[in-house]
Amino acid sequence: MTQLVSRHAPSLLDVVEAGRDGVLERWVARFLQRTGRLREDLSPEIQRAGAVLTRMGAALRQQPSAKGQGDVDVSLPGLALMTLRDAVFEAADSAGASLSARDVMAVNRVIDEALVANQAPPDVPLEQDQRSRQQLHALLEQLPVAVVIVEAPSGLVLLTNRQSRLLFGSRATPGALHETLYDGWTEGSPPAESPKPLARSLGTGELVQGELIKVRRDDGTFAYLRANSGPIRDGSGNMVAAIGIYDDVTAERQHEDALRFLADATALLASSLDYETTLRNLAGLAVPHLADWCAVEMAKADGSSEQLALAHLDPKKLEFAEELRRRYPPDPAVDTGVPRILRTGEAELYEYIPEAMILAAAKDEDHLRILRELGLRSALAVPIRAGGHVLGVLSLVSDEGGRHYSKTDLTITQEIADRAGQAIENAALYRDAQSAIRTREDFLSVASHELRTPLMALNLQVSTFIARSEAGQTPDISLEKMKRLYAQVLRMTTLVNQLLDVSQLATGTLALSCTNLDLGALAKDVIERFSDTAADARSALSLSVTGSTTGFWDRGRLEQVVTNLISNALKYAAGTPIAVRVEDDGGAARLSVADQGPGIALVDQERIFERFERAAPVRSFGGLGLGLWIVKQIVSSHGGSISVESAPGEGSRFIVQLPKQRKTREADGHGQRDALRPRGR
Amino acid sequence: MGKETHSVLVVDDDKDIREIICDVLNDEGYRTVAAADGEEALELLRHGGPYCLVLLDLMMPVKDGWTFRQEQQADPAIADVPVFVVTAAGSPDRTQLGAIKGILHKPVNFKDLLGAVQAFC
Repeated sequence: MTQLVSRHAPSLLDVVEAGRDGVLERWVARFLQRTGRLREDLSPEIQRAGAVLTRMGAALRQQPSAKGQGDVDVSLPGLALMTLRDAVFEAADSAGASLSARDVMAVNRVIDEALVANQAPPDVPLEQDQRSRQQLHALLEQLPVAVVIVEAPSGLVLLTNRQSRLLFGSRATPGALHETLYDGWTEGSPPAESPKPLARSLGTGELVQGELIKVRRDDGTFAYLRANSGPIRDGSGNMVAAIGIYDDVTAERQHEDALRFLADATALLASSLDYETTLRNLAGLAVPHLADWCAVEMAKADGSSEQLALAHLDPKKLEFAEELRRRYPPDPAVDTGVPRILRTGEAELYEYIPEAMILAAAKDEDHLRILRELGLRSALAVPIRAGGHVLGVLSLVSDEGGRHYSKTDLTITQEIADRAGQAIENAALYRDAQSAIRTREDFLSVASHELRTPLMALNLQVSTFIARSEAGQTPDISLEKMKRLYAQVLRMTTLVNQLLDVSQLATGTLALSCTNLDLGALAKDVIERFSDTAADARSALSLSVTGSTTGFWDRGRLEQVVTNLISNALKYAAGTPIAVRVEDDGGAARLSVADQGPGIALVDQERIFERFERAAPVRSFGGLGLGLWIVKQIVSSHGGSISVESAPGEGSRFIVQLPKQRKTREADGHGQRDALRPRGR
Repeated sequence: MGKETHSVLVVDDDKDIREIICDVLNDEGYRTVAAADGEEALELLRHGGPYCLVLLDLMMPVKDGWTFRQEQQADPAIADVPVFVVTAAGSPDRTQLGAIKGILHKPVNFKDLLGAVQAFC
């Protein structure tokens, strides 16, 4: 069989040696076609091409000395050598020759050696020349940068190394035109206006140093290269070739981008307390250097999330994404992505987005088609945390930018999210502090107003007395006027006591002095004291007591409870009847104060028990805004509770439930003072 | 316009304050009428009088002093009755008060009160 094949299918050696003239003729035709030169001018080159073919024959016969024929001139232009190689393979093809890998390598080696030999100084001894070429070859192959040498002026690639083949793939082949080596442009310039560095060196002899170019790889992703290029000249100073050296700085560049994003984001987060605007700007910062898409989702109270920001350079893509979200709203129950991160607080990194993930996310065929069209390549998402809670999720996604996220990217993005969380927390603390300051200022203003009223009555009476006495008149100091003055003193005393209570309760302790007492009887006493005030307010004040209403309580504090509730009713529901009921409720006594006044809206019902809060406008009603808060604290200290039943226009009913005996006895029952921490504060 | 023919209208939601101001002015020979809020005061201005001065508190239920002033100024029949504000508010919002004659800050003493009233009655 072997003999049969060798008889019917010539070897490459047969083609080169037997068909030498045919090969040369084929080469001449092609070379003339490519260069536009005249056949008459070509005889020296034909002779040299013959010499190359002779070497090729020796190489195919595997004679190590094939390269040693130094007396033969093989100095042909690179284009001529490439064309000669093409001619050899074409001739082999048309002769139906069988090509072994070894034969192909032998041919290529001879052509490569001739290419290099053409660049070597002519007076170098052969042995040394060969050694130098081997060293150069080894050096190029081992260099960590991509090297491409192209012939001048044809622009044909003469030589590449391992890195250039890795970087440019199949396009880095000797004989290819350097223009097709990569698709890219100088960073920062429009692609059309930036000829490639090597082209410039080739065209004008320009020396290009450290120019950053962005190239598209075979798989569509982008790489950043630091390019150097320059001319190679012969002894007479004529440019015979140009060299391009490319350093792949993609990882370095991406890391720089990420660090720049971190720095910019940190400055941004520190610049404002309006965190919503800040997070929107943050998303804008990430695009396009760190991501093609950046989204910020914030958690909502119901467990779902709301998209606070979405950034992409292309507004059409943004519209597309919004439409997609409207048509296919995110499912909060899915076990991946934003919903999962909101639940678990664990970051997610997808260096490559697998097809299976897109299949799983697609809700129908149409959805799948759209998701595929988006061309998402890589993604990462990190929780935005503050105070131990997950507030939201920051997501970065790459599509045609081609970036693949790494663990380093995840770490940096998490750092940004943590700083965002801190900024949100700070903003909340600032808002709380501002609100507390406002509340305090409002309270001081109200307290000052309340104190001025009895002070006004006292001041006017006393200053009148003095002025008239000084004028020699007899001032009126009747018992009635003295009683009126005294009432103002009591009023101030009550206000001051309330202020003291606030101070005491704010520190968390309320001293109770408990004895056995009847709440019904206590309510009766308080109501009697209110008879004049009730008459002034045109309100009928009634009391009903049912069952046993005796318990172990602090008399002074319970008087305060009943007084505050009744005075509130007289203040806000003046002119309507007010019904006070004290009832036995088993282990507890129930006190209720009901009016038929304007009532309290549901939204205000919780708030009115808070410090400095009131449902009515401060312009219309005075008071410190402390009465109900103090009542609640006293009731809580007794182990009881207070609630309100009300609706606008239907009056209000405040209900106090007081256990007759405290569950934990801390006093001996004989009026010894004890301290309880009020509940609920 | 004098104290023999005209009254001072004392408007304050605090009963004690109303009574004491009226007492002091009565003892000085002025006629006084008291109102507990802006609504009552407008009613008295429109259907009672004549009045030489209104002593007006601002923070009151039903109708506050600011609203009283807006309605007073909108009603030509009573718009010209001079008004002195008597308030416990440190720096009350004056923008809605219009052309008032002055402000007395609580606690007001006898001389200041009398001075204000003497200027108009």
